[in-house]
Amino acid sequence: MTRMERHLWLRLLYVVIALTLVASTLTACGGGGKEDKATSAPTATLTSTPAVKELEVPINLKDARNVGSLHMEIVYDPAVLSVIDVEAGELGSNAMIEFSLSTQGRVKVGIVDASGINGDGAVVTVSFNAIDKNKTSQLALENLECYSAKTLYDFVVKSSPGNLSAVDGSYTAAEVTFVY
Amino acid sequence: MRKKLFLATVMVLLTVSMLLLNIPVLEASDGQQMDTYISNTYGYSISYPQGSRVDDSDPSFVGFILDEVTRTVFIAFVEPLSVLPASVTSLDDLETFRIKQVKEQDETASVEVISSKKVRQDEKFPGREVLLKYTDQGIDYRTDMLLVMSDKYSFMVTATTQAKLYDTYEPQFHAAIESFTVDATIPRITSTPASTPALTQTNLLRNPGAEEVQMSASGGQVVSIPGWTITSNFTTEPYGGDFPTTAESQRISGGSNLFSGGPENAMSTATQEVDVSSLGQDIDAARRTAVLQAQLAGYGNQGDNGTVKAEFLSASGALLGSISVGPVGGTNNVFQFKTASGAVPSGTRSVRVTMTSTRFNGSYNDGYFDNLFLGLQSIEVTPIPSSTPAPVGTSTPTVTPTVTTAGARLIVDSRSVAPGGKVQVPVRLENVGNIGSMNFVLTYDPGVLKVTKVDKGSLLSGAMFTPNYEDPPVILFGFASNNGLSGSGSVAYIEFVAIGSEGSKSPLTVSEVLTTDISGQSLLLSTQNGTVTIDKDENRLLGDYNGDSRVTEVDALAALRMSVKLLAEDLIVDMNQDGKVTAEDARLILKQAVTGETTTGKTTVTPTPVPATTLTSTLDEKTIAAIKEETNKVIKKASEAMLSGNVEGLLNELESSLKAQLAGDLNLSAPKTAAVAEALSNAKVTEVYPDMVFYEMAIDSETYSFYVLREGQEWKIGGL
Repeated sequence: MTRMERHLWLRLLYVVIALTLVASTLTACGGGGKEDKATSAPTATLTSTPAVKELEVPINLKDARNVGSLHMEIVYDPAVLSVIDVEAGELGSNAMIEFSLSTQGRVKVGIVDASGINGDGAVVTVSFNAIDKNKTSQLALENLECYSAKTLYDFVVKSSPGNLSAVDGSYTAAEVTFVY
Repeated sequence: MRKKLFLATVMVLLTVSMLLLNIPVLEASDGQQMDTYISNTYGYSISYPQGSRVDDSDPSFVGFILDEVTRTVFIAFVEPLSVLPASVTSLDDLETFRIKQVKEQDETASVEVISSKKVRQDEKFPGREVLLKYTDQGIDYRTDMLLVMSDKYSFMVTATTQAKLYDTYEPQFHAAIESFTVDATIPRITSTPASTPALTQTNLLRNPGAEEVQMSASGGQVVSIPGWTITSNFTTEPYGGDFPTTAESQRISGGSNLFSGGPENAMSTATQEVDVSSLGQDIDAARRTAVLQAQLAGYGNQGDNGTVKAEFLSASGALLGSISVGPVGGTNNVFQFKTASGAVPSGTRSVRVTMTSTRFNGSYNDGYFDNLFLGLQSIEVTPIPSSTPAPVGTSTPTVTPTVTTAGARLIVDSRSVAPGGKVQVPVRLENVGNIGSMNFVLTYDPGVLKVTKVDKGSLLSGAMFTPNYEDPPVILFGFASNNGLSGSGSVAYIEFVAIGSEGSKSPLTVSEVLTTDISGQSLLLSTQNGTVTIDKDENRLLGDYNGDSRVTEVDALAALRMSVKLLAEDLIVDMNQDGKVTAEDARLILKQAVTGETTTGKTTVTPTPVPATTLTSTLDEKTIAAIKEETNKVIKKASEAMLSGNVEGLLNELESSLKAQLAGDLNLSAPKTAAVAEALSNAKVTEVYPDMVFYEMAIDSETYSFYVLREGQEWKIGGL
């Protein structure tokens, strides 16, 4: 198969494969049982390769002003990393924080602070296990929604992805920048 | 094994790439309105359902995502003929090649051709439409595939959904595939219009001023109107009597007659379709700008109004775009001149012009129209005769080229709200770049909603912004920025109070959108209208404070603020149904927002206490007097607190959201404080409802409105 053919094939089955994947995901997460964060969405690959190292990466906010709620989804390569936990960072110390690992390679995080988050710094810290110690995974931020604690109106934000090396734990923090 | 691994990798990569598209969960498509996507790179156009997410980051592979949950998606894929195998020389070959590709690449799935037929036989580039059945892991899918070969490219349009949903989406699939147009003459639009000979400067409409009609001198009859197809009782009337005067006719050169919504109806229309196929070559080369103009008026200060819309249709009748003017009403029989312009979409072969008159008061439908004008111009426009300057708010016909910005949209969100409740409706821009200025009109039903304030949205930080909601049923918006606005975000938040009855709805309709970039060049954006539904509490989603039909973090934030009295309590967020809103409810909402888990033992939709009264009640004089007495006391207290410099006392009389906004920012030593306090104490009641009373006050000859709202057992001031 030539590279071009693979490329074309990838394009042709854009829809069908995505459909298949969604169906698989729904099946895996169905049943209505309470989610077990520590063991959610395991795969054959994950269970056959022991976790060897815990790595921590902050998710930073820049120029936050009275941020009352924030939704973000951190997307990582599940062949390289698995998420262990999400904990409050310095800016999130007064916030309610909830997270979900129901989708492989993605951790959804919800943050609420009625008194408002202000300034620069880590709002949460994500702990990962290294799965493939030879690789680095990008940490992309998606589906960001941020609202003011005072007015409940939206904020305009930009995000920059981070990355985490499973080789040595070095990282670049993903960042949410508030635009005014 | 290697293939399995490869496929697994592709699946992961595709998932990530899909997610990187930032695709939201979309509502099910209504299947009615279609937008048009034009590829300037490859010279094609295709219609797709409004509301679809368009991803054209790769111009050769454009995705239109109708519904993420079911992965119902259109794909427009273009490849140069040069990359195809040499054996592919015809559509038959192309069909064989594409299907072979699919079958070869997934040995676990079954791909079957259900049907194949020749299409577009009378077009320059014919096509082949193939219906595929694809079964994978026990799930059936259907893909409608259109294959077209031009002299340069092979095009493949696919429309895919689950087999069980195919009947639902089939009309949209069909419309999209039928609309697909290959035209090598579609150029990349530049800032310099093509130099062309003088084009049509005449009015394309027949009988544009209702002069070609026979009627009685007294009027009041429904008559046929040459050139126009009418619905309901749309008619023409002579000037004079209850209608605009003959002097008004002289002022606007209106002749003897005007168009009118007619007797005994709530909505009526007159429609005329204009064949512009003779201009097809210019239109497809983006060398035509449409100009729509009209004189519009309404009776007295009533809400009855008129709108004129021009819709651009393809040869097959598919809607490619539209421009409109109005609505205009309540002008006391004085005509207002309105104009709109926009690029004529490629593929347009006819223009359908519709006058719509909508009644809000009385029995006669008093939307008035005259002197309509439709022109398809390239450089200059001959405006309709008018002896008066255009009123403020109208614009002169544009002579700059108009650029359609793919993916850029102006969106009015939809919301639900309880009877008597307040709701914030965001108006948003999505995927815009470098916007310098914008004007638009939003129309709502004043019998269902009342505007209490309009705030600037987050995207307009640093921009000049002015709303005007003084003349229901319209809100005028204008904003401008020297730096250019880019990205996505809100441009305004409109606060409505639901004054309609349970079950009533108000459309939120955008019109007269005029947009420029910072160089002054006109831009065309697609628009999405919204709706506010006044819903039974039983139908509202538990936990959904802001009424956007989702339970999200911002709902948890609202609940948390309610729990400490920073926001008026709304039991729609009482997740554990203990009769009060606490931090525990905020925690439960946050959990549901992130994990999808609902409160144990509770349904997601649950009854909540109904307000003690509804706004549809007819109040007797005694009740009105009692309410006014209570609200006047609150205003008096606020006024006294202002005069005495008692900040805390004033804050105590304000509704919780206003109180939260002003806390820490109030300065009662400002020079105007005394004047405001006096105006407040002299404020006059304008409307009384069981849970809300509206007031007006005058400060320095300016009139300001506010309201007093029932919060729990107390009355509080808001809307200041």
